[in-house]
Amino acid sequence: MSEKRRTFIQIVSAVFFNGYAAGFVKGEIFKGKTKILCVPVLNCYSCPGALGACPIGSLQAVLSSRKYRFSFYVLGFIMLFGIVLGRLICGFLCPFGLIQDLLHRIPVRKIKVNERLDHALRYLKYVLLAVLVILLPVLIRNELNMGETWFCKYVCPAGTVAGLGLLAANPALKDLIGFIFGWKMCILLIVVISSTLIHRPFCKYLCPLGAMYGLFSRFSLYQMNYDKSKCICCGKCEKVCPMNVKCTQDINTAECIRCGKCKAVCPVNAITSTFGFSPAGKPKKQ
Amino acid sequence: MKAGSRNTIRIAVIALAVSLIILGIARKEAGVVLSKARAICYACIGLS
Repeated sequence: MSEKRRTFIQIVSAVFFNGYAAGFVKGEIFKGKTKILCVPVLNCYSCPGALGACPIGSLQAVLSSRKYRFSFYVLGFIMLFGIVLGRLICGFLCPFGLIQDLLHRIPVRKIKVNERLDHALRYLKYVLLAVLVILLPVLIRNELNMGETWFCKYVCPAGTVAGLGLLAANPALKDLIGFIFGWKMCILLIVVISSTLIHRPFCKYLCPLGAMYGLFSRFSLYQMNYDKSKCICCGKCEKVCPMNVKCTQDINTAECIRCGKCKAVCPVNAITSTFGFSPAGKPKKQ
Repeated sequence: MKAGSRNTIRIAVIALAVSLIILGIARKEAGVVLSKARAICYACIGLS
């Protein structure tokens, strides 16, 4: 699949998940019943156009509520999306992935992160998932026995983008700007600048949703396949991979966002993708 | 991993995910999601 086609799908997806256009004009958010459903992508439910609920925000909201300490509902959605599509969602559907992809097209000198540092930083998203998304909302409680949405409040740049959208349409909200907004703007700025230099830094190092979907990479219905017998070891696939995946060693790693660049660039079609249940008795090519 | 085992895991995970969603609806967690998602989360957008 060409890069233009993937970008088109990303744009359609971003518009689809943020289809309440009136929200951007009125400076309000959508309050319809579809917000009971989790969307598969990192899309803040406080974005003026959002038609569904962000799974990471919803997970924290339920975990930090007075009544619940676990969210079967949101976890079920995440597992379902993960096992069906895996990180194909990151590569094709996530609006914040699209923003990073577009930023990376800005013609500035790109940098290559040191391999050891890159490897270590990849674990950061799992730490954020465990600590800010799960543990702190459950454990830290106020006098009303309610927790906070720690990841959303202190880290999530997608929420800051949503906040900017609301501020633009509703200037009355400017009175609420404080320290947290400044902090989150700094994080957004770091993500924006680093996205122009490194491919998808937020997805690689910070996204807790990507971390969760990554756990399903080896079993998801959408799989990448590498046929060693066809491979001529030209190295083009590994060179083009935005997530620095070693395609010839472990193509279905948790880091692969299934963007299909490796598949497109392979001159001998050694890399393919399949969707669905594997035919019984036939081991996967690896 | 053999394709058969992979498929078994997939079916088990899909069944578990659907069961969790149904259980969550029964526990009225979906109501919490809806009420939170319908109100502007000022903390989420950094405006608290």
